[in-house]
Amino acid sequence: MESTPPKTITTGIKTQTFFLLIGVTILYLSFLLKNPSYVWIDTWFMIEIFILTLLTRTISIRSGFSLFSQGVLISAMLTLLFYRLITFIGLQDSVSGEMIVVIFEELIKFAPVALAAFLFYKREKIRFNLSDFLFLSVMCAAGFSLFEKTFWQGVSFPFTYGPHLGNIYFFSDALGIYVNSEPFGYIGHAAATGLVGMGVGLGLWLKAQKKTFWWIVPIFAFMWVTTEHLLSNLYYVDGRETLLSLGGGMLTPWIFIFAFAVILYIDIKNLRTFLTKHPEEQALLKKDRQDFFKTLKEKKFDYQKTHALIIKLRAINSFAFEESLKK
Amino acid sequence: MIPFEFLNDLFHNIGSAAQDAGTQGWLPEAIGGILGGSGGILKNAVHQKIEENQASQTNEQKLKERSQKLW
Repeated sequence: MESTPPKTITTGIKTQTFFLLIGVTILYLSFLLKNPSYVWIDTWFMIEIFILTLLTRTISIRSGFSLFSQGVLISAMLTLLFYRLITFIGLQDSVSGEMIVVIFEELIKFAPVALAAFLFYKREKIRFNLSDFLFLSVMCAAGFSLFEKTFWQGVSFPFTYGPHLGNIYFFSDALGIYVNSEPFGYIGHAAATGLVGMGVGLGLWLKAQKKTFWWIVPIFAFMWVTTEHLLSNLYYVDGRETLLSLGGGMLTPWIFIFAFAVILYIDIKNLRTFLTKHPEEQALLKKDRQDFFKTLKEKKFDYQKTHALIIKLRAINSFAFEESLKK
Repeated sequence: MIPFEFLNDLFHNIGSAAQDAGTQGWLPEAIGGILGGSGGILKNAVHQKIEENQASQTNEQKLKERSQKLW
């Protein structure tokens, strides 16, 4: 006789997802109503990271939506309260006040991701892999960023910078200005926290492999984006141009691309090593992949087969990452 | 349909003929040995297939369990 609990769990998850999607839709509608011109740039970056980590992640898109909501409801709201506190004690528009706010912002944007990773490991003893850290960090900070942009009034930037194909920029939120005819900008909240997420993910991976200097990677990532953010903001506070001596922020997209290539390389390498060592799992994945492409060739889209393939790939990525830590 | 009765008679006759000829039953033994051997091979192949299927089921189950745990 078949047991009923899986059905109950599935129903529970579906209900949860349904309410989560309603929440995300409401948030999106409010962003569109308040400041529609900036909604697309963060959305585009989320789509890029979602697609580029599709084959290497262990977590679902639902977790991404959850972090997106937390980025608005936890990170952005707490920042707003914190900013009120800074204003209340009279530190707004001061160098020290800006310093405190920027450090707080960069920490609070990553806090929901750190909390999720910690609680998930505590409950299931499963670690997020490197692509998970990137995806969740970008989703969380994109929520924060969209919320912040609802306060932008009369703000405009002459250009977007970083790698691009024609008018399509990879870092769509890397908006720049000219200072003394030199390009000057901040990579954007989602990409900045994505860089921190990659740093933390890489650091924890190195730590699990008992590497002594694992902490250098997350510290560097955090220090880099925080310094850039702070120096960018200080230009608007007192006109200081210190960021220009660090390349005006134009180097950061390339640092991100480098880190992204590294984490994708590690996750793909882990997956390939795992599949070579486990031919049974490889055969199971191959079967699902063949089923999926067979339906595609017939110009059909079979949700069940697509779902089965993605679910299996996520599980295999999770085992692959776990095994890479045992070296 | 397998003609069991015919085969039974055939083996019996071969055996009797061999005994009469003083072969001490080496032919039936050889036939029995061949049949027994192929039976063993078949049995091993079936067992191997069952084990493979069980291993595959276990791995599939393992993946399913992990995917249910993932966020």
